[in-house]
Amino acid sequence: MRKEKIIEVRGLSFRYADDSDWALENVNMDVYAGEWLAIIGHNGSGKSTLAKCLNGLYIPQEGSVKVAGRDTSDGEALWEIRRLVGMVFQNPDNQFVGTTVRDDVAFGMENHGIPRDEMIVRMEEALALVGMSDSADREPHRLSGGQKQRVAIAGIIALQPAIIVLDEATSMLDPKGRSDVLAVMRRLKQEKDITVISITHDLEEVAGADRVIVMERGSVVQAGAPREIFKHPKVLLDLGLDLPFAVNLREHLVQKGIPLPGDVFLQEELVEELWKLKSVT
Amino acid sequence: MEIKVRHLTHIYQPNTPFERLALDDVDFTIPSGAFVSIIGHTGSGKSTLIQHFNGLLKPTKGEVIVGDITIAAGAKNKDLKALRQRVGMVFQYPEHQLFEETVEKDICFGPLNFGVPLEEAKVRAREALELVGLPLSFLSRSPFDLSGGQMRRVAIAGVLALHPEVIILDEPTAGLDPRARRDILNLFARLHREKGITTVMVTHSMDDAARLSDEIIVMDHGRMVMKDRPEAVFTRTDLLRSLGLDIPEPMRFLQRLGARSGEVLSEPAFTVEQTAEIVTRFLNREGGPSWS
Repeated sequence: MRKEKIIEVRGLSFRYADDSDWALENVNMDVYAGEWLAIIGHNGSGKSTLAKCLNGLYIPQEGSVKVAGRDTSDGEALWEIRRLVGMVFQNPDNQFVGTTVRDDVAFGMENHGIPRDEMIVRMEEALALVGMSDSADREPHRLSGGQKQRVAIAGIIALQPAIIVLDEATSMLDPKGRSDVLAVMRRLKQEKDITVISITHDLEEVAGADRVIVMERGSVVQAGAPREIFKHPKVLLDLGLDLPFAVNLREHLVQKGIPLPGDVFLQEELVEELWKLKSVT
Repeated sequence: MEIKVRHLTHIYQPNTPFERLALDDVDFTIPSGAFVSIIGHTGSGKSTLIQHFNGLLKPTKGEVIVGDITIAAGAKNKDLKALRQRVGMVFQYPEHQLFEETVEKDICFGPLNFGVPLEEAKVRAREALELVGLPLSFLSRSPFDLSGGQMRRVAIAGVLALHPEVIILDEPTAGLDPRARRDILNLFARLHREKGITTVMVTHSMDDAARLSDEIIVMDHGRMVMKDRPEAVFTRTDLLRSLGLDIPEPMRFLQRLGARSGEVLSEPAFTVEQTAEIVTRFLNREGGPSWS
């Protein structure tokens, strides 16, 4: 059974100026409530533009984007849409407003009129979730790139949106920071049924997503479960994309004549398959 | 060009409520012509450290010696200009610093600043553009009409046009897609190999550090905890994990396979090809059928 559609994109086309090429052309896609949707594609394929259409930062020239039934072209609905869709960008420098980490996380909540007592609870929770409680009194612009990203994520978590869009939001984090933040997101998804839309180059994250959308030249060229997408590695390589390690290794091993099923894409699956081969006497 | 770091301590905003010890008695030498990666948890002091290499930050205590130039705590530094000419710094997201009308003007900006005559600067701009793999037709284009990966290459060309003897890279591939990432890393590996440029790279990617470096420096809480060849650093799995770091992905996979089979597969493997070799050998060992 499919869950309800929380975002519906129909015939979406967008360009930055009347005389420029279409950055997005006739995009049709749905996002289901509570899913983890990964969007991949090389830079310039339209991923970030699409993300900015999802909360009405950009309004399409053609077609429509509906979030929980509300059209982003309806000015009256925009406030509600932005309350539903929280965005974390790649470079958080451009988003900081507070003089301390604490102020910065509070800023969004103040704007949304959240009562002070509630604000304090949420702030502590959000900072703890991203592992930045100790830095609450530091100045955001003096933090490292990865720390800034965590603060930006805390600011969004505190708003408790229904949908979180991560636009390469973990790209500046070290391995542990990245897996911590992703674990936080998974927990939020599970416990609060938050929908996560993640634009990413991190293939291990993509392998763990519920669905994947592949973009190229402003269009959706593939959509499906990771298992389906990674059955055809050549398509992805031709688009200049990488493969998850297990898929890459699978291909190398198959070339060496080792019989492996063509849909193995998770490391634990590949380990099991190899163990099975080894155990055959 | 050799880089010597001697008992380097750096304190941010001393004597204020924001005072913070960012580097704590760090001491090491990077030999001339080496490719060294610096890894460490977010906020471990990596970026603070490399900003001393071209005098952007001054030591609170200790000194940094690059070639014959010494930047010491408390001393007046007259040689900063010479230092910055020799040490090219590629910051995070260097394309944010592009500002000129054309790619050519942007690449020439640095050399002109250091007193290189215009004609010579233009020659260097052409060379640099070729080095980063962009066509000469880009010279007359606006940097702002280029893709993110292309803009980054133009920014890097601007650093290369200074003819630096040392290149410092602060997460040079952050935010790039896989193809652009490969291109940029291959570029620096080539420059290092062919021109013998001493290269220092701050990275979060264990895989890149493992594949490219002669040596790896591991930072934690402002201190250097390890400096060794990748093969040695990445056998210390437990230590790395306790520092919020990890081993490269091929080794993580082999560790999993080892755990499943009860065999220890802990030899260093940094590429998928090496991993495939090890897996094939693993399958062919006694007990199982033989695959070529």
